[in-house]
Amino acid sequence: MLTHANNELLTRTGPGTPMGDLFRRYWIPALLAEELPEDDCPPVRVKLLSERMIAFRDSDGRYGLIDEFCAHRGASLWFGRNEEGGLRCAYHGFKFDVTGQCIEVPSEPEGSTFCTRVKLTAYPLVKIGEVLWTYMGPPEHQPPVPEYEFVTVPEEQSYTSKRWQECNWLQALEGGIDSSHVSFLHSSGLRDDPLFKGSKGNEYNLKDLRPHFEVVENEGGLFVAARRNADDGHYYWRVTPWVMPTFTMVPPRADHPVHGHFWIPIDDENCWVFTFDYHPTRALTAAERQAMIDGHGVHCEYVPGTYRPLANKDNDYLMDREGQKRGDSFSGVKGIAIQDASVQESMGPIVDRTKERLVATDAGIMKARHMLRNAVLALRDGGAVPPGVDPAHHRVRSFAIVLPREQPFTEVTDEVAVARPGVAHVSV
Amino acid sequence: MARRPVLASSCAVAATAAEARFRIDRPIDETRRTTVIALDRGAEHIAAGAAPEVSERVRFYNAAGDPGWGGAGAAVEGSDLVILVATPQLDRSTAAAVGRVCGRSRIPTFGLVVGRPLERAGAVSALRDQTAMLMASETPLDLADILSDLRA
Repeated sequence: MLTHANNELLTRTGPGTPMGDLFRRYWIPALLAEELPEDDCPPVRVKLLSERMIAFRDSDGRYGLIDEFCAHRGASLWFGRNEEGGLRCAYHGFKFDVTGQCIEVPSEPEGSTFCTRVKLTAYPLVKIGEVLWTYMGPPEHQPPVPEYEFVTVPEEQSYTSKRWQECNWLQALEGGIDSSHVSFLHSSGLRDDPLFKGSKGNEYNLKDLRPHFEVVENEGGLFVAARRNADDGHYYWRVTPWVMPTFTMVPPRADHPVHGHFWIPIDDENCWVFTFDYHPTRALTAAERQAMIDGHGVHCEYVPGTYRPLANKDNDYLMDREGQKRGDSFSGVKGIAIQDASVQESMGPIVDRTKERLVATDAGIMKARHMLRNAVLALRDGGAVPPGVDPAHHRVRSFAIVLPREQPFTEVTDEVAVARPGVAHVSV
Repeated sequence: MARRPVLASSCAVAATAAEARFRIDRPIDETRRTTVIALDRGAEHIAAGAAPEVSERVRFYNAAGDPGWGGAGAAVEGSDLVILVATPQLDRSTAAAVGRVCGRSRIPTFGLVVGRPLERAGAVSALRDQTAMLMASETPLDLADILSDLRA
């Protein structure tokens, strides 16, 4: 459990909050590149860390992320015209470039320099892989851009989706660190899902329902390892890296693509789940890509035209009680992503952690909270650069491996938990 | 099957701040009975540092320096959770002796190994088969935090 004060400390990410200040030291996913598909395309409303902004791509292909509201009278620039190198407010024609600089005030006399003194808040927006990333912190502390492997491999090897989750970012992240729920909530996926099935590791998963866990600090965050019995004298290890503050990567199965998530605060009661799937050494097959688009694996189906899951809290996540009884799924909810969303959203918009009763297998969650709190306080009190900012921390991989019982998984992390271009991931 | 109407208080829609106010707010259980066993001298210091920070209900025992420590059975009796604390100074025979008792008692065991990564590997290895959950950390402050996290 957490005290009320610590729960507030870790869950509030708006401007001026300690955790918000921590988030503002990292590059974070802001949008999918598909949301701004071409020059002068329609702008997109974006809310991140409780700040409302507008994203657009100008006539020269430059990306901008600026205050949503016009400096003149506060009208939303979403109604604006994206044309000729800037976004023009539909109300009185003020025009802004991707840096937030006002570049035209039509009502001013010709030759007026008034517009040069008007500038909206703007954050950098860069395309890396199929994701548009932003940095919302102090410019003098802006780190190098992210180097997560899923955005550095060729595009044909990677697929990224996003979905709206209607709860605080931290309880969503904690699901990604909590390996012990997989044997229950997601047990059916190991048998049936086209992006998981056929792995020898699945047999170990389903045979040993009492895994042992190890949580080990890493430079950028943690390794959370689940250990199960394998064949004679061996253990089957599944190792999940967490990179602060909000990146996790699920251990792979067989030669399937490997996947993971970012949980990015929209505000304190909503978050975006950016979900990626990639293969380090080969293009995704057409069947794999189609399965992802169709919502298999860790992706989901959507309400058409939106990033809201088709199964959501307004329709009880399309709960299928008959299927639950038959054993189609453990919870009656279809799909890993929505199984997670259903239970995590049911906890409430910000779960009250003063009432929880953690058990020993929640150690990954406990340690992640300690590290987040320590980083928040070290930044607030001493300006310390938090773990996970350095791009070297991004070059991690999850892995699944069978090792002799006497060999700890930490003996192989230097070899197999590091992203190496052109080298396959280690999987079972 | 006919679908029943979704009411404002039904589970899914109840995930709102407004509905969260109506969650039942009565005590659920008694406090967990937790036993902390320091397995070596370094762990003894860590446990001593954590003790003032946590409830008097947590029971602390010290197996340091006594490879054949015979107090494990009495120490873990009645516990809901046993936390074994170790550092790179850990003696494997102590870990094995205490681990055997915990295993026989079917009490969940949590291992905390504090030390630098290269130095703590032996202790982590020694506790691996004795605990269901193992945390390797560089900070001794984790013990007090874990006890607080677990409502010990």
